[in-house]
Parts: sequence; C-alpha cells; structure tokens
Amino acid sequence: MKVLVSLLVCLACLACLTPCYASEFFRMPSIWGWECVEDVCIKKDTGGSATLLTLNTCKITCGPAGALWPLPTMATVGNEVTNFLPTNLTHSLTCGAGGDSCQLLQEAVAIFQDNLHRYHPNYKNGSAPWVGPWDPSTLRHKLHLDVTIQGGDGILTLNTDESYELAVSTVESVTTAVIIAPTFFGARHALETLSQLAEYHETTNSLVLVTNATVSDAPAFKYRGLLVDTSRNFISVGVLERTLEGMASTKLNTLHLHLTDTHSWPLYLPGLPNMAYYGAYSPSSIYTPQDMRNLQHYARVRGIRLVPEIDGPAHVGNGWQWGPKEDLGDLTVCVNQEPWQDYCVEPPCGQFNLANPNIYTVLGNVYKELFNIFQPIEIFHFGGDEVSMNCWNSTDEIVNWMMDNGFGTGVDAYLEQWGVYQEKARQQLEAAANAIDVNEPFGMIWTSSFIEPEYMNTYLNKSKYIVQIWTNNSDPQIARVLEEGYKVVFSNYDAWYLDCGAGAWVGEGNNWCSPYKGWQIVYTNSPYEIAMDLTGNEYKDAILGGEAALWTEQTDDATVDAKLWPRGAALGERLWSNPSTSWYSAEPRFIHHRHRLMNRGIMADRIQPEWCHQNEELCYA
Amino acid sequence: MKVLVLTTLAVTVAATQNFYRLPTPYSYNCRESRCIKTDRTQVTEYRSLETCQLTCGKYGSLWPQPTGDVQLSSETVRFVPRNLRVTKRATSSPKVQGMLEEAERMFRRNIHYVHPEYPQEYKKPLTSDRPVRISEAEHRFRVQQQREQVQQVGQQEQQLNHQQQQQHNQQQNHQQVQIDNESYRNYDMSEEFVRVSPFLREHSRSSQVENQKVDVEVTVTSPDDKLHLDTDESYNMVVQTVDDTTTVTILATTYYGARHAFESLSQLISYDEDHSSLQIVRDVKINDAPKFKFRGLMLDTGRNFYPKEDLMRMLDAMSQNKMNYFHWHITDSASFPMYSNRRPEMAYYGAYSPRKIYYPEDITQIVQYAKLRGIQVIPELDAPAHAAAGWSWGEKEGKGKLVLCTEKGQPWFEVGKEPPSGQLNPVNPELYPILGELYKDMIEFFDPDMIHMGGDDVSFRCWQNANEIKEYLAANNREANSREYFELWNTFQSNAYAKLNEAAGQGRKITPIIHSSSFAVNYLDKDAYVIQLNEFANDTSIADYVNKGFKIIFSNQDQWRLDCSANSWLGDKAESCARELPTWEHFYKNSPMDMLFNMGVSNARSGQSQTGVETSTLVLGGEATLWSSDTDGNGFQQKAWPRVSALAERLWTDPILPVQGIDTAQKRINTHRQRMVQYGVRADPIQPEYCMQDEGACYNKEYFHAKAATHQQQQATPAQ
Repeated sequence: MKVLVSLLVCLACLACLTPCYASEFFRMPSIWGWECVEDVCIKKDTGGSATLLTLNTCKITCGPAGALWPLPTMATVGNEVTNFLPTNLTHSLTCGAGGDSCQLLQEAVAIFQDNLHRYHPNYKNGSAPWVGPWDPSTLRHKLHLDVTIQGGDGILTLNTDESYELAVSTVESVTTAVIIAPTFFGARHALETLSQLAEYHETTNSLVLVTNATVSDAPAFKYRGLLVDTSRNFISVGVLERTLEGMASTKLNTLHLHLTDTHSWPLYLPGLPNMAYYGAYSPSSIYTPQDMRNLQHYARVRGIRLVPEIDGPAHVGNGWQWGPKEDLGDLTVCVNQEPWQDYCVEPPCGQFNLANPNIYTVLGNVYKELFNIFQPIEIFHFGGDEVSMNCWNSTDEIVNWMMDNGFGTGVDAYLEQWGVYQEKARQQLEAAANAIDVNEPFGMIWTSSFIEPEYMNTYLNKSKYIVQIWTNNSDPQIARVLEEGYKVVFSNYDAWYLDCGAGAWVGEGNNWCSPYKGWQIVYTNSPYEIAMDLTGNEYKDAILGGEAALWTEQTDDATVDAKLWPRGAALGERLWSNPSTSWYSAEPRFIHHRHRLMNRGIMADRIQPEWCHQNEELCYA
Repeated sequence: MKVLVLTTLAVTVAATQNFYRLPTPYSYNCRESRCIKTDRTQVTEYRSLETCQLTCGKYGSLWPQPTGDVQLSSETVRFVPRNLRVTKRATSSPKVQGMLEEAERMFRRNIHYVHPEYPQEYKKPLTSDRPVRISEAEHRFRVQQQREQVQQVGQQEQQLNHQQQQQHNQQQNHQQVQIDNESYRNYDMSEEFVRVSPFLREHSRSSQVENQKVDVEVTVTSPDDKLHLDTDESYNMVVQTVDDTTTVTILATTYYGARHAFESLSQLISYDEDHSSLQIVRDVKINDAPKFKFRGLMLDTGRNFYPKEDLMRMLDAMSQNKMNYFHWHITDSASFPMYSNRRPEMAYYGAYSPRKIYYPEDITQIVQYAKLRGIQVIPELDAPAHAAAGWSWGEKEGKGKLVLCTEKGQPWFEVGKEPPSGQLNPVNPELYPILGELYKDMIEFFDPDMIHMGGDDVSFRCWQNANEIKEYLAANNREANSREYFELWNTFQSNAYAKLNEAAGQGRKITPIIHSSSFAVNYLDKDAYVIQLNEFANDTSIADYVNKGFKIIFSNQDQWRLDCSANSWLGDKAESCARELPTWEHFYKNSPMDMLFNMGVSNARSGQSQTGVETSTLVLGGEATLWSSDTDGNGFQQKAWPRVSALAERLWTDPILPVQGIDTAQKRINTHRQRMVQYGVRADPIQPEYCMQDEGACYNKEYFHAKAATHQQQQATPAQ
C-alpha cells in the first residue's frame, strides 16, 4: 500500500510541473454562487466576492443530511469541507469475519476509491485528469479509512445485518472515517454513504469532503430489489453490471433476473445445450455460466444478491422445442396456436405439457445446472403467473390425460393440477439441491389465480415460499396472502412496474398498465401502508420488502438505463429509509443523487430542468 | 496482489476466446412480405434472417420508403468492407467533391458499425479534424504521455475492475489486428472507426467472399452546394452484380440527393453472421424524392443542456432518416447557453455553468456537421415569453429592465406557465438593439435561411402585473385590457422583425418562423412569416391558417410531441400534452394532407385552397418537438427514436394508409430501429426481438380477423 501512496504523490508532482493545461478551451467564469439559508441552497450573484459556495459544496453540506441518498436512520452532517485528492487515500482494515469477507472488503475499498475518481466530470475508463496546481493543504490532505467488520461470512441472506456506524472527523490534514459494521455488507453501505459526503470542486479541480459527520444506519426492509427481464429482449452482461452499479449507489440489495420466458432462453446450460440453441435470439444473445458467475461476484461485492427466475408453468416456449426430437414428447403446448389471444396474455404462447412427466426430469436437470452456476442461491423464483386454463383445456393430450385420471376439466381441476405441478417442481429443486449438497432455496412465486387459500395452503409451504405481489395496491388478494401468513415482497404494478406508459406493442394505443409511473409514485408507494389499508395491520414481519420490475417487451440494451434510473433510486429510499415525509421534501437530494448516478456511468433520465437543481424549492406545483 | 491481478486477467482472456457461438436452428422464408421462421432441417435452401429482411417485401428494409419505382432482387452477395470502393465521383464542383468524400466516410463508418462485435464505446460522432495550433497539440500530447506512463505503473499495483480489463483486452486485440491483417495494409487505417473494426480480424472466409468487389460510382450534376428549402433532394440508384463485381450507380442533381442515396445504399447492406461478412442486395433499382420539403425535429436546449456530441448524435440519427431541418430551441427562461460575441453577458448570466455553453466555434461546427448530413439548422431565440435567464444584467448596466416578471417571491403561476417565469419588456427601447445584436450573431454563426422567433405562451397576466407596463399604458392613455396587450405584442414583434431584417442586411432575406397563436393568425403578414402549428390534430382552427394563405409547418402536440411520457415535473400531466402518449403509430398516421382534407380544405392532397394557391405549396411539412423539461442527453434518444423515424416516413413518403400499410411499416421500422442501434443511436425497441424473428406472430385481434376474412374471401371466390 505504501508503494501505491508514494506513486500517487508522484503523479501529483508531475501534474504541478505541467503548466497551464487547464486552459485548453476558452471558458467563461461564472457569476453565480450558493449559500445555505435555512437548509436550502440559494443561488446568488457573487458580485466578485469569494464567500459563496459552489453548488456541489452547498449540496453536500446544507440541510440535516446533506445530499445523502437514501436517507440514513440517523445522520449529522457538518457544514465544513476540506479539499483533497482521491488519490490520497489510506486505510486500515480490521476484519473479524469469516468466508471471503476480508477479500470482499479490499475490493469494496478499491470500488470506493474509483467512485471518488468518478466525481471528476472528465472521468474516463478508470481514471480522471486530476491536474493542479493545488494549494499545499489540498495536496497534503489525506482521507484515512478505519474499517472494522465484526462477523458474517460474506454471503447476503435475509438474516444478514446490513447496519453500520460511520464517524468522520478531521484533525489537521487528515480526515478519518471510522466504520464499524457487523458484516461486510454494512461496511460497504458505509463506504457508499461516505462517498456521498464528497463531491467534485469545480474551481480547484479537486474534491471537497465533509470534515465532520456521524451516521448510524440500518435498512427498513430486508429485500430491496429490481427485476430485469432478460427474455423479451436480451440484456447484455455489461448493462446488467451497470445496473448493479446503480443499485449499489442507492443500497438496493436484490437483482431479480427474469431469465427466461416464452420469447427466448438466453441462459447457456452446459448440460442442456439445446435450451439456448433453440431458445436464444442469436448466437451472441447468450449468458455463459462464467458470465453469470462473474455477475454474481460483481453483485456480491456491491452488497447485492441475485435471484434467478425460471418461469413456469406458463411463460415457457422458446428453448423447449427439442422434446420430440429427443423422444421426450412435447414439453410445451399451445406454442403458435392462433389466435394467441385465446391461449395466453401476450404472444408467443406456451405452457408446460402437464400430461408429459418428462417435464419434471428436464426441470430437475435445469435446476441442477442452476445450482452449479449460481452459488449460492438463497431465493429461487418459480414464476408461476398468468396460466391460461384455456390453453390446457384446448390441448387434446392434456384433456385426455385429465379425463383418464378422473380429474375432470373444470377450472378448479386445472388449478388443482397447477398445484400438483408446483409441488413436483419444488421437489425437483429440493432434490437438485440435495444432489450437490446445498441448501434448498426459498421458493418465490408470483400472485395469480392459484395463490388463493384453497390451493396455496395445500401446495405452498409457508416456510418454503415467498409470495411476490404484482396486483394493484387495492387487490383483496394482498390481504388474503398476508392473512394466511405468507412472507411477501411487494411489486404492485400501479407503482412499481417501470415499463408502463409506452405504446402498446401489439395493436394500438398505450400499453396495459399506462400511464408511466413517475418517480413521485415510485417513492410514495409504501408496503406497510398498503397492508394497513387492506387489513388494519402493518404485517411488519411478513413484508420482506419490495421490488420494481422492468419488463423488457419495449426495452433493451439501448434504453435500459433511463427507464430504471433515477426511479430505481426513488425505490431505494422507500425501501431503505421507509420515509414518512413526502417526495417533495426529498426532491433536492434526489435530483443531486441523479447526478451521482451519472458519475457512475448510468444514463439516468432527467426529471426537471437543471434550473430546479440550481434554484432549490422554486419548482413547486 | 499481483498474483490476483494476473489470474483474473487470464480468466477474462480465456472467456473471450471461448466465446460461445451456437449455430442457429432456423431458416427464414419470405411469404406475403414477411419473414417466416422455419426449422432449418425442413428447408432445401437456407436463408438467414438478415438476408430475408433485406430482400423480403417490395421495400425490403428501406426506411423511409422510396416514393418512386423500387425493384429489389431476392438474392444477396457477400463482401468485406475493404473491397467497397468509390470508383467514380463525377462533379464539376471541388466543394461538392469534398462533401461527397465526407458522405462516403459516413457511409463506410456505418457499414463497419453493423458488425455485432463492434465495440460500442467507439461508436461516436464522426467529426472532421479541427485545426489545432501545433504547439497546443504537442503540449497536449506530452501531458497525455506523462499521464499514461504514470497510469501504467499505477495499474500494476491497483486492482483493475472488470470493465477496465475488458477494455484493455479489446484495445490489445485491436492493436494486434492492425499488425496481423495483411490484406488491410493498403486500406485507409487513418480512421479510428476502421482501426477498431472487428472486420479486420482474421477470418476463414471463402475466396469468393474475400474477392467480391463493390464499386460505387457517383454523379452529381449540379455544382450548387447550398442547402435550402427548394433543394432538389431526389436521387436515382442502380445496383448490378456481374460475376465478382457489384456496381452501384448513383445519380443525383445535388449533393443532398447523393447523400440520401448513400443512406439508402446502407439500407441494402447488412451483416452476414454465417460468413462474418457483409451482404448487399444483388440487383436493385430505386427512384426516390421526398414528398415534403420540410422534415424537421426540434430540440430544446434551454431547459436542459445537451453537450455538442449529443447534438451530433442526433444529427446522425436524423440523417439516417433523411430528415432535413434541425430546429434548435437554444434558449428559454431557464437558461441561455448560446455565447454571443456581441453580448457575452447573456451566457455569463444565463448559462447553467461555464461548461454548458455553445461557443461560436461549437455552433459553426454543428452547422457544418449538419449540412454534410443534408440538414439545415434553424436557430430559435424565443421571445417575448420564455425569456429570463441571461437577461438580468440590464439594470446593472444602465439599460433598465429588459425582462419582467422574474421577481423572487412572486409565485410563477401568477405570471407565467412554468417556473422560472419571465417575459421580455416590450416598452423598454433598450431591448431592441440587443435583440438585433443577438440576431446578427445568430446569422453569423448559423448562416440560416430561416430563423425561429418563438412567439409561444405569451402571458398577458405578466404584463398585467408588471409595473413598467401599467405605467406605460397609463402614461399613453391606454387601457389595461387584452386588446392593448395584443397591440403591445404586435409592437414587440414588429420591432423584433425589423431588427432581424436589419441584421440580415440588404438584399438578404431570412424567413421568420413563429408559433401559431391568435396573435399570429390575426396580426402577422402571411407573405413574411411561416407558421408552426402546435394545435391538436382535431383542432379545426388549423384550416384558418391555410385559408388565409400562410405557409405552415405541422407540429400537432398530441401527435408529434416527444416529451410528455412522464407526469409533469411539477405534478400532473402538462396541459399541452395529450392524455395518451403518442406512439410511433400516432407519429406515422398523422397526415397533414388528410387532416386538411377532413377539415374541408378542398382537395388538400392535390387541389387548391380558398386563396387559389395550391395547398401543397403552403404545407411545407412537419416537425416533431422535444421540450426538455424532463429530458437531457440521457433520455433524449430513446424518447425521439424510433418515433421520429415514423414521422420521417410520413414526411418523406406521405404513405396513404390502409391498415395493412401500417403492418409492413411495423416490420420495416423494427429492422430500421435495429439498424439505428447498430449505428450507435439508443433507440427504444417497440417490440420484443421475437416479433422480428417471427414476423407473423405479434398481431392484434383486428388484424387476425381481417386476415381470416380475406382468407375466407379468397376461398369463396372461384379460381379464374
């Protein structure tokens, strides 16, 4: 580490020897400065005096929590700053934890330093042009990290303590940040918070850092997720990584990958190569096992778990066509049946062939492959939404099978068989887990016509399943699931479906869940309040958290960022802080956080004219 | 630490080498203008999706659809970019010659970009090198080198993150490519887009593919290099393949027609996965010319700033759609980012930051960049409303209040439409000379044929509340009523127009464009002004403008406005937005001529208006608008594309619409959108990729029933 520090000092020397680089282009000075008046940054004419602050300095020091996002449980942020260079960073790490926690912490510190560099407006490809000349005090100033993690094994679970304590203090030319956290995950959240106490300082081409602050923080919800659908359109690994960067910056901790659907199967399974051969959109629209392993590590070091989903018994089709060729019979039915409107909710149709027992063998093999790729899987998503009874009931093979077995062909009979399917699939998952000696994951499942007391009590074991709610916030089904005692995650579409508000992709008009869910709606949506309204109880133990979903019928690599961000950050504060105040009071911090997302390379959408960022509290409705 | 870095590097390299390349089990047949997916083992002749898309249907994947005769053969020939050459460039003007070379560069860049492994981060605007003083360049180079040296040492110690490693590896690959590939030795390696092209990598291709030549011969008959409203943009193109040579013959009157031809030519070419090569339609004839003269896009850089590169990307995307007008709403009440040589105070006080200013050299560069892409830039100085930022220095410099209604503490909604409020002070005589100076600067920077003078959202309530106006009216014994406010507005507009003419100088005519309003229709001279119509498509007042004989540009806000996707940044949806988001189909179907026809403007598609002037000469065309309240460079591209592409076909082709027409348009716009993404535009997909790979699958119920009905009809009719 010493070598590194001396090298960096050397970089500084070199830079000060180089004269007048800064004037590459003609640039005007600015007449504006900012002053923090009663927790609001006010834009003022400097009139040539230097007493006013830059916008960034004002933002990170003004108000009780500066520009921290999401809002910590408790924070005191001082209003003094010091200039420093992000190269002047030292650390001492005390690691009393198991697993690879200590290695993760090393990596997290490197990411933290990189994030500081990213504040530079001309940051590119891992470095920023820090060019002086600087004050001797800026050159001398050092940020020292003193991090202690007390335990944990480097694996994020629903029981992991993500809390942390952060104390920033400054003595002469050293600012020390003391971080104490029960686990690695708390410590990385602390580093995230610390990075938000710094900003770029335009007039000196250095960073400013708040000199004194104390933060004591823990999340309100355990499950803070985003869903990305990689089947309707392929999303490349690079874009998923960028999504993880955004999630890390806003302390979201779960990326739910809706890996497969009827449209395509992008996941290459070495033991079942036919799935991607038949199912991928193109030879390059594929995730290799190594891609996914790398992604999982990329996520973990940023405090994020992956939840893989293999949807069934509906939403299957492409990738499963090879059954007859391999003498396994039709694995799926209703594929290409016309008109599709009669057999599914969107084209192309496809559902598992319940009459063909081979589906369970293949599913078992798919699960084994998954366990080999994703290590560990704490939560596995079974999908389980939008099954068309008409599809099954219009397929001769299935109707005959239902009749032969004496089940009948009423809707109830099909729901019952759906239950049987679900239990058999879960047994396959359990068996696959046992076969390679890992824990059976929690099963996650979408709300649907099957998630009703008469079926779920028979087929869904409360200790093994988590129910993900996607209905709107007033659906009585939410109350039934909670009252039956299931653990739930909220994704009610009226607030947390991020694909709403585009044109319909089949036919004309706007898509089904229009209008667009603005960040205010995302921010305001409160799971506890929804539960309270429907049941008179907050169900604090049962509600694990929430997740916003980006279904990708009308999104791909080209346009993921602006749809996820900054709305994902609004979700982040709801789930981390569960604020009782309105979006309006969060807005100045939110707008500033959007700039941070951009520093991290995310093309987050604008929510207001920049004028509102510079003129706080004047863009009222 | 070192060990760790080494192992991760090794892993990444291994992963890129073991890149999984599954073959595809599907082949595609062209049936009823659609590419139908079939099992590869079931067909005698394999045809890839890309080949099918290029050749299936009358128009293949051309966008916008040509208006004249089109013939495409159903075969393609394979070639590599190195063997595409422009063998003839016939023009009598050296200037056109130079411009053609730039158009070819752009075209060559695009065909490299279609390679699926082309590194995304290198897809950026293609600027010509700017003259830089040598000492400055040398200095910059030295600083760069020093920095790189330090970085290299630093990198051995620091752990690289994953992305960096990938980039690093890619760069190494490219360097290697450069050395390895013998056959590209004589190719123009001075272009960065060539140096990083994956086409340069060694591939075991058949000699037929390696040796196939594509020769392009261009003839431009007119030496006129100016772009104006009446420029002849037509072109004629023939592609013919004999043995191992494909000859492309382009004939156009002007440079602008020729560059459109290059655009169409790039749409006859796509990547061929099976041969790692390009493919071009074997034999082609296209005759083409636009239906409307004005095919525009407006971007607002006043509410949020867009870096120069973002504007260039936008111009690239516009040129891919053969659009020809960029209406630049530079300033608004929120900021004034244009640097004025004559009035530097404007940007000093009005820009968001010193980094967020368009300096004169930026603007001339953008204007030149646009021109090469067949696009004219129309600058707008919005007035008298939508002005505040940048105008606040008047009192300091003894010129009195140039702008009214900007007092802090006064609620914005009492004096304007959105924060920040502000409106120019029409009774301050100091205002007009300053306007004149700004117009002069604009004319120098932009060299425009038209200037947009704004004229939207004028708030009489502002003038009602402003003491300066109250006092002025009282002093002149005028009442404070709306008639007088109209008169005030008229005074302002007449003075501003006079200043514009003065700035243009004698003998030069610059046509002002102004937003439609009850002021515009009642006060302005139809022979002087062009009106931009923002009315909803069902607003019958549109007909008034035509009947009065105004030249018009359509910009129906409910059909052709690009923002409005989110709730307004102030709360509810903006009043001027349609309740439903206009989709690409709205953009496509909104037809100015049909609209006029339905409003009783007799025979709008071909006939005469009440004034006896041909309607088609009054309707210049249309323009999509993007107001940037909640948009900047991050979200702009996906809000604009591919919806503006739909507008582009409406204005280039003006298709007459049966339902089926929409249907083939959907298939082509899907392909076109994908091509735009390949060219580096972040366009939104309108459907899952599945719908492109199975063109019969994603239909709505009406279409299904219509199809079933035709099918029945066909069966009922006895064969002849």
